[in-house]
Amino acid sequence: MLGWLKLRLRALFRKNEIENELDEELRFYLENQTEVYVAQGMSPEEARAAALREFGGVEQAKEQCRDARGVSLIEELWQDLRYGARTLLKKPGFTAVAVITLALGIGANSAIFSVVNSILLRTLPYNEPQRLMIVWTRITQLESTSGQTQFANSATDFVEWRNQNQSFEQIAAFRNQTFNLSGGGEPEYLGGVRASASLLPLLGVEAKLGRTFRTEEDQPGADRVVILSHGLWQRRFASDPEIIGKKLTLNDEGYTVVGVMPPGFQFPGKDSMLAGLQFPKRVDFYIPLALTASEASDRGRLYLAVIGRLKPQVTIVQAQADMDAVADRLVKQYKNGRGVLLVSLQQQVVGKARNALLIFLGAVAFVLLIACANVANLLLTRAAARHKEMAIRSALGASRLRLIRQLLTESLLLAMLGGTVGLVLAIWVVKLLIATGPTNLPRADAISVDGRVLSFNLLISLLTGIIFGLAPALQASRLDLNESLKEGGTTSAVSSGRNRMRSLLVVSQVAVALVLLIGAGLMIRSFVRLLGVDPGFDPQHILTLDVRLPFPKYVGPQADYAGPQAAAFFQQVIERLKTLPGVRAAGGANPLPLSGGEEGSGFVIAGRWPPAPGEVFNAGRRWVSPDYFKVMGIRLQTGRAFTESDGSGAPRVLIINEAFVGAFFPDKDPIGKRLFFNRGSDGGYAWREIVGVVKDVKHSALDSDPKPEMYFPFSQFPSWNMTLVARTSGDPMSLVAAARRQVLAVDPNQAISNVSTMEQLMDNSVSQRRFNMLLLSIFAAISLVLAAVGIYSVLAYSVAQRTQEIGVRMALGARAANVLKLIIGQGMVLALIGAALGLAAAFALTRVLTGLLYGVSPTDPATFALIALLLLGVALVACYLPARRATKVDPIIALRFE
Amino acid sequence: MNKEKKTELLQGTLELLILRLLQSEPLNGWDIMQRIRLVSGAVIKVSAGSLYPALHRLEARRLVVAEWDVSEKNRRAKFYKLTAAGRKQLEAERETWERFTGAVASILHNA
Repeated sequence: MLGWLKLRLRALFRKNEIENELDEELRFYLENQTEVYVAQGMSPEEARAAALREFGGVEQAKEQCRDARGVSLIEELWQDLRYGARTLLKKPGFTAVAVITLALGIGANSAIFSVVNSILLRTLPYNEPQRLMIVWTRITQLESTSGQTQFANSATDFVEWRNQNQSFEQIAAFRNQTFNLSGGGEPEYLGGVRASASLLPLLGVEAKLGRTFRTEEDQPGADRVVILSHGLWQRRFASDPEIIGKKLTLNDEGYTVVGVMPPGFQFPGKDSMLAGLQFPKRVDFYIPLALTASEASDRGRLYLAVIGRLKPQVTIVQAQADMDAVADRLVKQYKNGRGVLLVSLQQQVVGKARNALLIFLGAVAFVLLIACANVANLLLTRAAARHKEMAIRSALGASRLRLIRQLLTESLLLAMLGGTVGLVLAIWVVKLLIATGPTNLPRADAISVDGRVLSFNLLISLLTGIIFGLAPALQASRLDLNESLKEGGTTSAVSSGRNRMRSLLVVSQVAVALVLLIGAGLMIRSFVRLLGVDPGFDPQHILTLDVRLPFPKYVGPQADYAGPQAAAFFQQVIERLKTLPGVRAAGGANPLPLSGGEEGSGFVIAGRWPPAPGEVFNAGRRWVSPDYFKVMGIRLQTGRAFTESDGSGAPRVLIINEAFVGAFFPDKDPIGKRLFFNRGSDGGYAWREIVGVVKDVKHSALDSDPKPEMYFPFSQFPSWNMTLVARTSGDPMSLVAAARRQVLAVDPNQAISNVSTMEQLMDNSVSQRRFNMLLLSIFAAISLVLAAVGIYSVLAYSVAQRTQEIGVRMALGARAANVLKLIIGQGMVLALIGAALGLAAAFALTRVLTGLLYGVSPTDPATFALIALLLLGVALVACYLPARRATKVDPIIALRFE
Repeated sequence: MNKEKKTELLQGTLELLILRLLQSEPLNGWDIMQRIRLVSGAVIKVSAGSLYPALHRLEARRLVVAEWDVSEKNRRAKFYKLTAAGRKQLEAERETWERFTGAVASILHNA
């Protein structure tokens, strides 16, 4: 074994020595033989020639000896690599085009794969995440009208589920909670989560410092404890190792720090939960949920998120059946029908992104295919030029396999170069994607280029090298020695096969490019339609800013609700805003359209209490100031708007939108009708009278249909949070400082947040779609350019090949126009066949885009036709350039050619 | 170099011949060539062009080892020597060969 290894290693590293020995060994033979012939009376020259003849192919014998040594595989690989590198360097233009083409294809694939890897493939950073389920409330009668399937949960339901379920090991509820942190520095507005004590143990996450909550801390009165996020601990408390046991002032009340979470822990993600739950973008702290008795008995308010850990061996289907049974019991008990929906946490987090990501992965695979076709085409062209080289190598004893291996080594070298450049490109693109991508890309912070992405990159580089290299290598190595050497150039049989393959490549390139282009075209059309959607309000010149009042200062007579002082605060600020120069109208709303906030209320139309099952409906709910409709430019259809007199003491009123009328009063005048609402805390009810109907507003998103909505005057039910809006005559952002001063004038300790304009909010709401559209458009553009280059290079090559023929035609009287037609015709036939195939493929494939489109059918004929024309136009240009060159052929020179 | 009446060697037979020739003493390529000619007369056609690759194949399979030594005419030549494995291989192949030729011969004579 050692001897064997020595032989191989020697063969690899002492190559010259071995070659010399081989030479010497054979020379010994030849000289002996020559001497024999000389002794027989030949002249030395004759004798030497005879000896060589008798030997029978010295070079072939050498090659066979090298082969016999067996090391040749590694040695030849090394040799091929060096030879390949030299050939590539000799043709820098070819190499650059091929490497750039491949880098685009492989880079795009690696970039998208790294996103897919982080979002879809990597598991969530919790203990056995596949057992984690998010539990939502289902309200069937709303699913048909709103399309919404997930609703937040009431505290009552959560408590009942916790007591009655058979499927969960642990179950926890959580909700958002914002606080003013004061003392020890600037007062700061923090986003936090109130969570059951079981939440963190359920996720399987331990505190980095201190501990998580104890069960007894999850009780009103014992709940003044806080766990800090790692980020807040670092930023605000300078990573104080002694933080445990210290007191913080949150909303003017003391909380004891009991723990600090590990870095990277973020739960829940804002965008994976319902928008209406308004979880903060970054969770700064956790405090116990500590449901009060009145909270626990409130089944009307839907504000909790619930997560459960399945018992081992329990499937999601079994758990869903178990929870359905629990829900059925609750329906009987509470006479109010609600269902339960289990969604795995993974599914909840990844959500809609999954579909889009898979589509992008498919799109980049197409781009790579086109890139492969292009490089294969380049290689075929080169194979023609290297025909003689191959013939000589073959004559010198290289087997066909050996030639294929060498050509493949060259393609692999190209692919690896392309892959490396592509990887650099991918790393850069991934950074760009994270920076410019939509804000609601799930788990965006986890996207990175890791080992798996590197392996993927390597794998597709190798695969690519084989895909684009194999066919040209097979073609190039298939040669008839005598023919090639005799002709000194291409033989007609070989080149016709090669041309057929090139045409095939071009046709498929065009087809694949058309599919991508049509996909991109549909996305662009959707986006344009979306931008043309009437949001129901006039977004220009509107300043928006959030004010969140601290809890204790503005608490009302009922412990869980804001008091009249909150209403008074907002009223004063709005009055002051109105007086600012440049402000034409001011108001406030909670929540504002397109801000991500969603709230709803159950109500009963029939004048009966308690209602029978099926008589309680749900609709969106907004608290607004009297002038809100005026500020936003929301048109009043009938009835009246709110006035200052719709205050806390006045009759309780509401305004509804057209969708509400359509859903609940299709052929009745709603004005003057009364709706009944659960008062929640005491199980009683209250009624409100409809006084007006306003135009529909796109509240949740521009692409979703308007849902039934109700507007309540904010002074009749004050809340801590309000988004102030001001219609300005100039640039809204120029008034930010003045607006802030008005807030401070009413309460010098009150901060404002989320300063924006209505136009920016609209822009943010379409960012996901714009991102999708841009990404697909970029891929389509790359594929269009590559396909055009493909057509161009095939025709240019064909023109060069047919120079003589064209010269003859021109000598026989063909005019430039005839030649132009001939060449363009040749190219356009390929383009047309490709386009036809592409249209058919697109027709079959674009339905996967359905979820990403808006207002456009996936087989929209106009898009199909337009894009096909665009592609054919580009193809025409790509054909025209080589065709024009053909018309410049000088018949005399062309005929002398050869 | 037409085929004439010389017999083309069967695949692997050349290697068997080489092993046999090396059984008694180490030889260089030229020597082996001369002995094949000597022993088989003009019946078996072996060219140097196929002898040397065969030698290298045997060396790669460790059936022979090569050493540089001085030839009769005082020139450096590469000498091949049978290894233990080579000897074993020779025995095995000779047996196979004899069984095979015996079988063929008996068919030719008796059938």
